[in-house]
Formats: sequence, C-alpha cells, structure tokens
Amino acid sequence: MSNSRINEVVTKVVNYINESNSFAYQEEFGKLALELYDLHREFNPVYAKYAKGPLTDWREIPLMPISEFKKSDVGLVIGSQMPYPGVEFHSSGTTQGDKSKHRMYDTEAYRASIVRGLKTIVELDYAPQYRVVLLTPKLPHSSLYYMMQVVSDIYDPRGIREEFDGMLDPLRVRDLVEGLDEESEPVLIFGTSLAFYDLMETIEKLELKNITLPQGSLLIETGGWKGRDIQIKPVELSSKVSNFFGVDSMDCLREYSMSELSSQLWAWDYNNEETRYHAPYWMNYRLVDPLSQTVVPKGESGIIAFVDLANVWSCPFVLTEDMGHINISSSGILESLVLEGRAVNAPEKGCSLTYAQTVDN
Amino acid sequence: MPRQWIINPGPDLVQNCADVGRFLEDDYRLAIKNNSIPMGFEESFEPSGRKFVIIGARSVPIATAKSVFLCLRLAGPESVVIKTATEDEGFLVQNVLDHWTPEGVETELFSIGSDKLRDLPEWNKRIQEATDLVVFGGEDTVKAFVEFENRKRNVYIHGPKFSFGVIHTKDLTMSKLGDICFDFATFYGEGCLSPRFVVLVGKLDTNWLQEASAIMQVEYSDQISEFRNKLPMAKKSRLVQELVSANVVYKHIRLENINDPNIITGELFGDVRFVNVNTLSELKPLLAHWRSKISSVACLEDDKATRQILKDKDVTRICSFGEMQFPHFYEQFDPVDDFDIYCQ
Repeated sequence: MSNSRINEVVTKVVNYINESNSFAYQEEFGKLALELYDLHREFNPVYAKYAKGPLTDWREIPLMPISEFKKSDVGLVIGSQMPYPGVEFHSSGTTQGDKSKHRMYDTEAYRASIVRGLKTIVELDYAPQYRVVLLTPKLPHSSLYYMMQVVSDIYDPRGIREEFDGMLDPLRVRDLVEGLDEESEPVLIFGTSLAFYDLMETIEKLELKNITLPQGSLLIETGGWKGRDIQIKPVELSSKVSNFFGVDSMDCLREYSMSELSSQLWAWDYNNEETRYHAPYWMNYRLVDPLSQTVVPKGESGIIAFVDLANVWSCPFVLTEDMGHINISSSGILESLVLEGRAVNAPEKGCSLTYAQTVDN
Repeated sequence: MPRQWIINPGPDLVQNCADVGRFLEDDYRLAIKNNSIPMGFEESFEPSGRKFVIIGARSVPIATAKSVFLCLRLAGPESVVIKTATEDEGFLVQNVLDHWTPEGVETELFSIGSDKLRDLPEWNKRIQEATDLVVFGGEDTVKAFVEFENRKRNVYIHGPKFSFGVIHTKDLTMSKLGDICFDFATFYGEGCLSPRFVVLVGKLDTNWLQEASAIMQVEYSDQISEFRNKLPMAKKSRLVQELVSANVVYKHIRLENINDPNIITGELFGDVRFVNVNTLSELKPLLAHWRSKISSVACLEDDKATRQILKDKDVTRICSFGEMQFPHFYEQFDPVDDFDIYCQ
C-alpha cells in the first residue's frame, strides 16, 4: 500500500469532517465509508477476517467486535509493518486487567472530529474563549485526556490549562471555587462523573456557598460510575453540580465515547427522562443483533454498532459491548441514542475507571 | 411396576419450557428421557420433621427437580420450599411437586428473581424456619447462604463445578470423536456436567480437529444456531466478543492452551474445546489446583493411567465419553451427594 493512498483517504475524511454541512451529506458519508472499507479489508489484517467482498451499500459493511482492540494490533499495515510509531491510546482498563490499544499514525482526523463535534453539536462557539478547567490528573495514553487537552488548547488561548486532580483536597477545592467565583469569562469544566462527584462531596463538606459562573459557561461530564460503588443517580449529581455553579441544565453536557473510537456523542439537558446522545454526521450508529449484525426493529434494545469515519487508522466499523435503544423526538424526526449499560458479563471499562484507579492508588 | 420418570410431562410441558427457558424443546425431551427412576428404588416416608429449603441454580435442566424429587421421596420432610433460578426449571419442579408430593408434606415454589425474593417476608420466614438448606449456585450464591448454618440448621452447598475429558490421541476414533461432540453439544456447554474442554494427550493430527468440525456441522450446527439465536441480546454480545478471543481452528472447534484460565471460565455456547498436551503429567497442576471444583471427568474405560491419576486426586465422577451429561440415577457427581443429604 502506498502512503499516498492512505493520505488521500485521510484527507478526504478530514475534509468531510471539517467542511460538510451535516444532514446534506449522507451520500458522501456512504461513499467514504465504502472507500474506508476497501482500504481496511485490503490492508488491515485484523479487520480482513470480518470483511466480505466488494460492497455497494455501506450499510452492509461487516462490523468488527470491539474486543479485537484488546487481543490484536488493529490497524492498517504497510508491507509487513504498521505505519507506526504514531500515537497509542489505551482504554482505561478493566477490572479484569486487560486494556484495549488504539493506534493512530497521526491524530489529524481525531482532532478534526473533536473540534468539529464541539462546534456542530455542542455549538461551542458562544464565546471566543473559555477558561478551561480539566477535572483530571495527567493520564498518559488516555484518549479522554488527549481530548481534554485539545479542548483546552483551542478554547483557552491564555495557555492556562487547569489540570485539577485534587478533588478530595479541601484546600485545593476551596482555591478552585474561589478562583472560579471571580472569573469574568465563561468557564468550561470538563471531567469524569467520578471527578464531579468527588468535587461535590468536598464542596459539601466545606459547606461552600453556591456561585454563579459567567453566562455561557459549560459543564461537560463523561463516564459512569465504573469501579466505584456510588449511591447517587446521574441526574442528581448533574443537578447538584449545575445548582452549585449556577449553570442552566441545557449547558450541562454529557459526552460518550470510548478509546476505540475517534468521535464523540453528546447529550444535553439532564432533565430529560433519559440521557439522549447525538452523534456527529461523520459517525453512524445503529442497534444490531450481534450474531447476525442485522438492525433490530425500531424501539427494541440492541448492541450498539458504530461506523466512525474518523477511525481511519484502526477500524471505522466497530461492534461494541454496550446496549442501547433509539429515542425518537416528539417531532418524529430527530433520533438519539439512549445507553442501557454494558452487556451482561462484559468487563467494566470507561473513563471514570481510570480516574478511580488514580484516586484509589 | 412400569418404568417411571422424575418428570411426567403433559403435552405442553416441553414447549412451555422452551418458550421461557434457554434450551430447545428437544433438549428438554432429552433431559426428561434420561431421568427415569430405576426399578427397585426404595423410598422412605418416615417423618423426619425436617424442613427443607432448596435453592436452585442455572444448571442443566432437571438438576433442581431431581433434588426435589429425592427430598420428597427419601427424606420424610415436613415441608419443602424451593426457589428456582429460571422459569423453565420452575415448570419442571412444579411437575415434580404435582406428581411426587406425599400426603401431608407442605410445599411451596418461588420462581422469581433473587433480588425480589429478599424483600418477601414469607421467603425470609421460610429460611428462618428451615432445618436444612440445599443450595445450588455460583460463588456469590454460596457466599450468601453459607452463613445461615447454625446448630439448628444444616446448609449443604452444591457449589460451582466443571467437567472435562481426557483422551490419548492414539485412541481417537471417529466413534469416540462423535461421543465427545455429543457431550459438548448437549446443553451447549451449560451446567456443571458439560465438558469445558477435552485434553488430547500426545501428538495431535489436525485432521482429527477437522473431522470433529465436520461432525459438529452435520449433527449439531442447526441446533447450536437456534440456541444461539435464542440467547438474550447481552449474551449474544458476549458470545461474539468471546469468539474473538478464542482460538477457533475450524467451525465449532477451539484449540486452546491448558494454562489459559479461560478454558475453565469461558463460555462455549455449543462449541467444542480441545487442549493438547504432550504427556499426562501436564494435567497434574490443573487437577491439583481445581480438584475441589471438578465434577466429572470422561476418559476411556481401559485408560488405566488416566484413571489412576484421577482417582489419586479424588475426582468425584469418572465416566465415559458420550455419558458426561447423563449420570445414572445413583451416580454421584458433586462432592456433596444428594443421597447423603436426604437419606439421614
């Protein structure tokens, strides 16, 4: 395989992510998916096991079980070698101790996906800049941490990157809250659910008074409760956090992704009965029967499968171990994804697990 | 006296079981057919005053039902209360209660999930009154009930177990291979009597694996597909992800390493799993480590070397290939034998 052919496809994908106009480009999505399919069935030995012959409909593209990321080095191979070193992300691990590896030769498509996703779905252009606070310690090989850094680089031009890993430290929490109380620019606080939980626990212990962040501030929460026995409903936590910081429920966002993917799904308004995630236009999700890979009837639960064009280097066609169902808006037009949790016996994973491991250690 | 069965099915029983249970109609028929009551079975109805609570698990069909039958016909109980883990097992146990409950014995069947059960006052009352608790289940269930033992109450634990087979490659024949495939395909790897793996001792000709695959495809592929399609979505997902990690050498045939813990814990969903070792002595560490969890081991009747090793490790049941899933009525396959519990 020549580098030029990869570059050509990567460029097309990046252009599509950066320049397309959302709903008008479904046809282009299909073409790109098929182009990636051809590339991967030919030059990705792990995916090749699942591929069929040439296809004309992208919906028929076979999916690769996500556990291949644990078992194998998934990705395009030039000659007898993978075109690495590039970057390698690891999943936050599981309670069973095995981790996924997600390799990318470069992060161009990944970064495009992060930035464009924030702009098109979250519409993160209310303010030219934010003060970005990352509720996380430094996590090498974490795709979430990488994403947080990208967000910080773009939206905090002062170069202040607040990596706040002291959510249980009363002095640091007091300093953080007092600092934020004096902030005049909108603030973007990005952290895992567990990090927000610990932060709020400390705030309550300190009996700090509620503050009101500047208008346009955003809270982004990701991950679940993996690895920790937390007795609070997600909506209660979101409500506590938004009340304390004086942020409207519509500006409290949840992000869902995994280290094996390059794109993110976003949800807003925790007051909804269920958290409804929206995917960017370069990412298709569907609910399938994992044995037949056929789409389950509308309204039924199924295993979530993704076609993520930004996964150019590893594998864009991923069958996860998560279950979900589709919510259809009252207008009958807008579909969103509702997560139902991990399939039975699937090992726990997720961003909050990394955070829990860090804290517990 | 005509031949009698533990379960006496009406016209709809197997269909009803298949509608709500994991298995197919033919699987329930097979299980019922292989659980007849031997001629000369001596019952005992002398009142013992014992109050039993039997807690079933997701085992092979009829395991709980047979335990209930033995309790009713041997222990002279005052009362027998049963909790089944699955709805199909509930139907089978109800059938036993309908046909085999002696006059004056109080019975009650709870066929609901454990979570809901804990909140039922009548269930908690039954547990407190029990003189004997018989518990089938995995580690969690065992932990939950073992603490109920006191000077007035016995707790008998049928804990987690597994089975496997051992055969020398020089002894392989098409007929033996057929028996091995039957053991794996029957009940699709579910329950403690299903083999988790068969150890092939000696130099392996992979043609045997290919032959095994052919047998599986011709004889069992349709049933396995039907069984797998019937799995709940989450289990299907588990199967797909598990197949990625498994070393599938031919369709329905896995070849894995004896030191891989997955050979004990990983689910087969109807596949056959072989492990290949050079000598019998490579089996000894596994036997030493797992001896308390081994239920049945299949080997050839004239394989004295293997039988000796198994006897040295006090393996509960040594049987033939093709019979792994169907112990004889009196045959013990659990370190805690039901006959010992009920014949006191």
